[in-house]
Amino acid sequence: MQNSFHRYLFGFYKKGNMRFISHLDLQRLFKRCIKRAGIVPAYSNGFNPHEKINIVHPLSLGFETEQDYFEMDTETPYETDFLVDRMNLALPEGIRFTFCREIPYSSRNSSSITESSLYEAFLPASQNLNIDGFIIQDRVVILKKDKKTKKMVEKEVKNWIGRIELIRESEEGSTVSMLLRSAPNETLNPVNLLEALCAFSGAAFDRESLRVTRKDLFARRGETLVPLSRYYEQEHQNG
Amino acid sequence: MSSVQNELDRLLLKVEKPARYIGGELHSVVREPAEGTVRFAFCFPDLYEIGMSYLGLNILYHLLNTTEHTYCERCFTPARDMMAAMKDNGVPLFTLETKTPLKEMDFVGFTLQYELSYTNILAMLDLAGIPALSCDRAEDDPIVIAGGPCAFNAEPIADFMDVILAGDGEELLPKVCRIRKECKETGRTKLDFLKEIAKLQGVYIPRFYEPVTDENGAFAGYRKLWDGAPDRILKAIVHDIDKVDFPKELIVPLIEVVHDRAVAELFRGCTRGCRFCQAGMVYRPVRERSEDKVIDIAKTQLENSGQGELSLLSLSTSDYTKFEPLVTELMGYCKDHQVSLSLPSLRMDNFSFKVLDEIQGVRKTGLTFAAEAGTQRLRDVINKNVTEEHIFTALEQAFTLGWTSVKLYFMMGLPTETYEDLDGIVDLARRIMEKAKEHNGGKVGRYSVSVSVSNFVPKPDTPFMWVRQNTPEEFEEKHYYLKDRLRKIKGVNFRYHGSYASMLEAVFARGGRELSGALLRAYELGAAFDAWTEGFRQDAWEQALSENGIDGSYFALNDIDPDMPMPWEIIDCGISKEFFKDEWNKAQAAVTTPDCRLGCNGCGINAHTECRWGGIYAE
Ligand code: SF4
Repeated sequence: MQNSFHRYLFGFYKKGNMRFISHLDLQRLFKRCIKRAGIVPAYSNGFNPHEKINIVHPLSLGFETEQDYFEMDTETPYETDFLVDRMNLALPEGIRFTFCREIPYSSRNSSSITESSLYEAFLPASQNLNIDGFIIQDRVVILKKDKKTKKMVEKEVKNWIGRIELIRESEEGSTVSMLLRSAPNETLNPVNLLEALCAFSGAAFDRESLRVTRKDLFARRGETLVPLSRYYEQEHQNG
Repeated sequence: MSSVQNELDRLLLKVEKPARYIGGELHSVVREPAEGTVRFAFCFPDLYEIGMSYLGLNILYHLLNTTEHTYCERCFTPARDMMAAMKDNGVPLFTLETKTPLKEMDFVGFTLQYELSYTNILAMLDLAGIPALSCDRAEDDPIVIAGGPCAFNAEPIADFMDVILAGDGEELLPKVCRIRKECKETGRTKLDFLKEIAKLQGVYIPRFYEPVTDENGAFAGYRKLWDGAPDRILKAIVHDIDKVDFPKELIVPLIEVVHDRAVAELFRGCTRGCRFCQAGMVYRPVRERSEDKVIDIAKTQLENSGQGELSLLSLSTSDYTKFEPLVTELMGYCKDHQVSLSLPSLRMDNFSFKVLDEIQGVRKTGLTFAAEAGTQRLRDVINKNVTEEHIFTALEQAFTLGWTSVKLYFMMGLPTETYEDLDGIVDLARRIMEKAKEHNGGKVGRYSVSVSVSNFVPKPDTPFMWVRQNTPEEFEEKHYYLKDRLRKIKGVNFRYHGSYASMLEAVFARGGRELSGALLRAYELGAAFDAWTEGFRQDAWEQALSENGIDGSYFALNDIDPDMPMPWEIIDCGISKEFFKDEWNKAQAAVTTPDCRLGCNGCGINAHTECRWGGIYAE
C-alpha cells in the first residue's frame, strides 16, 4: 500500500513581504493552495488525518528565499507541469513554485538528507569585516537566545560553518555568503553568526536593516554537496 | 513602492506577528487607483486577527471594489508594540493594500461592532494624523464615517464622526461614495456633500444636531443646527438581500485568525424576540437569501479559497425556511471535499442531531446551549424560548450518540433576577452532570459541563434598554456565589467576565455626547483594546471619567423612565416605542411573546418594508 504513493518535490521562492510569513503559516498556506488547485494529497492515517506534506528545513521569519523545497505525497499520479501551474494560481504574490519533479517515495523525507543551507546577507551598516581572522579562531562563539530561559547564552559553532566569504563591500555595506550546516530541528541562525563576526571585526551591526536570503539547500552525494533540486537527478542516473 | 513600505521593512523585524501589517493576501484587491477614484479605508478597530474574522468586512469590501470609480482598502488597529514602533519612527497609519497613509483617503470608515472598541478608533485616528474631533478637521482631511450595530447609539462617538450610517450598508455605502465623487468633480465643499447625503435614509450627520439638556442637566432632546436635516434618521433597509451581491471570494488571511473559513449568510434578522438581544430587534425584518444563492456562494467560496471550513451564519440558523434540504446538500458537498461544516446557533432538535452527528463524526466537539437564565420564570422574562424539557431531551440524545462535553451559556444581572435564578444555574449544571454519569456507569470520567456567564448590559432598541445594570459589586458577589457552588460539582467548570468592563459597556451603550471628552482622555492615559481582559486599563478609565465629571453609574446603574427622551432616539430602528414598552411590561409580568411566525406581534417594522413572517406557521 505504501509503495503506491507518489512523491513530488517542489522548489519555491518566498520574497518581499512574504518573508514575514512564518513556517506554520506557510504550511497552512500550502495546504489551502493544494485544496484550491483541486489536487488530492495523501492523508496520514489515524484519528486526526492530515495532509502528507513537508517543508524542508523551515526558514526563519524575516528571511527571503530564492530556492526552498516542499514535498507532497499523493495516491494518484499527476503531471508535474500541471501541479506547478495549478498551484501557482492559488498563491499570493511573492511566493511561487519554480519547478516540480517526481522523486522516489520513501519513508524518510528530504529533510533528513539535507545538511546545509547557503545564505547571502546584506549588512548595510557594516564594513571592514575580518572574516579570515574570525574563521581561523579555535573556537567560534556566538550568542543565542535560549528557547526556555529566554536568556542569551554562548554557543560554540565552528563545526556548523561550512564556508563564509565576503562577496562585495562598498560604501553602502557588505554582502556576505555563508554555507552553514543545518539539521531538521537545529540550525545555526546566520544573524547570530553575523553579529559575532561584526563584534569580532569591531564593525557596526544593525539587526533591523539586515537582509538575509537563503539561496539554496544542499544534500550530500559522496564527497560533494549538491543542491536538493539536483540530488534526485543524480540518484536517478546512478541507479 | 510607497515610502511607508521602506520604513515598514525596518519596523516589521521588530514587532510580533509582522504579517498582520503586510496585506498581500489572496483575493485582496491591489490596484493603482486612477485619477478621480474615491478611496475608502475600511477600518476595523481591533487586531487583524479579529477584524479579518468579520464577514461584514468582506461584504462591503467586495461591494465597494465592484462599484465604479471606488477603491476600498483595509486597515486594522496595530497591536501596542506596532503602535509604539510607528510613533517612534514617525510612520503614519496606512492601508494594507497600497501602504497609503490614511490621511490621503477620501473616506476613513470604521465598523462599530462593540462599544469597547471606541478607544481603538481614537488610536487609529491619532496614528493616522487625523484630528480626532470632527470640528477640528480641515476641508482636505478624509471624511470619517462609521456604521454597524453600535451605530444605533453612536452618540458617545458622534463628535468624532462626520457621518454615521444606521442599518444595512450594502446599498447605502456605494451610493454615498458616488455622491462624494460627484461633489468632488463639481468642486463642492465637504459641507455641501454632507447636506446632500443627509437626504438619504440611514444617514446621520451629527454636526447638524446639538443635544439640549433640561434644568437638571438631563438629556432633553436635540436642536437642529441645519433646518434641512431630518428630525429622526430611519435606518437603511435592504428589502431583498438576494439582490445584493454577496462575495464569492473572501480574502484568505496569511496568518491564523479567529475564524478562518468560507461563510454564507442565510438570513438577516430574527423572529424569536429575545428581549435582551439588540441584533434581533434592529435587524428586523427577517430577510432570507435563497437556497440556490447560498449553495452557490458556499461552493464558489470554497473553490476559490481552498479553505477547510464552511460556516452558515445567522442569528438562529435552524429557522431558515429550507434548512433541511440546504444542510443536506451542503453536508454532502463538504464530505466529498474534506471540508468541515460548522452551524452556529442551532436549535437542538432531531434533525440537528442527525446533522451534528454526521458532521462531527467521531470527533465530537462540545454541545452548546444558550439557556441564558437558570429558571423558567427568568427565561420567560427574557423571552428565551428554551425549556428544561428541551435541554434534557436533547442531552439524552447527545449522550447516547457519544457527546461528552456540554457548554452552557448564561447571562447574569438580568432584570428581576434573584438568587433563586442563580441556584437554578447550579441546579441545571448538577442535573446535567448526573445525567452524564448515568451514561458512564456512575462516574464523571471524560464528561464535562462548562458554565459560562456573561454580564447583562442594557442595549438601546431592546425592551430592556431602560433597565439598570447590576453594579460591579453585585456582579462580583454573584460570581462568587456561583463559583462557590459550582466548584463542588465534579466535572463542572465555570467562566465569567470582568465586571468593570461590562459597566463601561453599558455606559457607552446608553450614554450620549457628553462622553467624548472622557473617551479622549482615557485614550491619552493609555486605554486601548478595552475588549481584551489582558491589558485592560481600569485605572485609566476611572481617572478619565472622574476628570470629565462623568459618573458611570448614572448611565449604567439607573432605571430610566421610558417616557424620557433618550440620546439614541435620534436614530429610528423601525420598531415602535410602543412595542418596546409593551414588551417591557410583559417581561415584568413574566409573560412571553411567541415567535412572529405564529402570529405578527406588531413591532411596527412592516410600516417601513414588507415583513412576510407574521403567522406563517399559525395553525
Ligand atoms: S412586523 Fe410582525 S412579524 Fe414582522 S418582525 Fe415585526 S412583529 Fe414580527
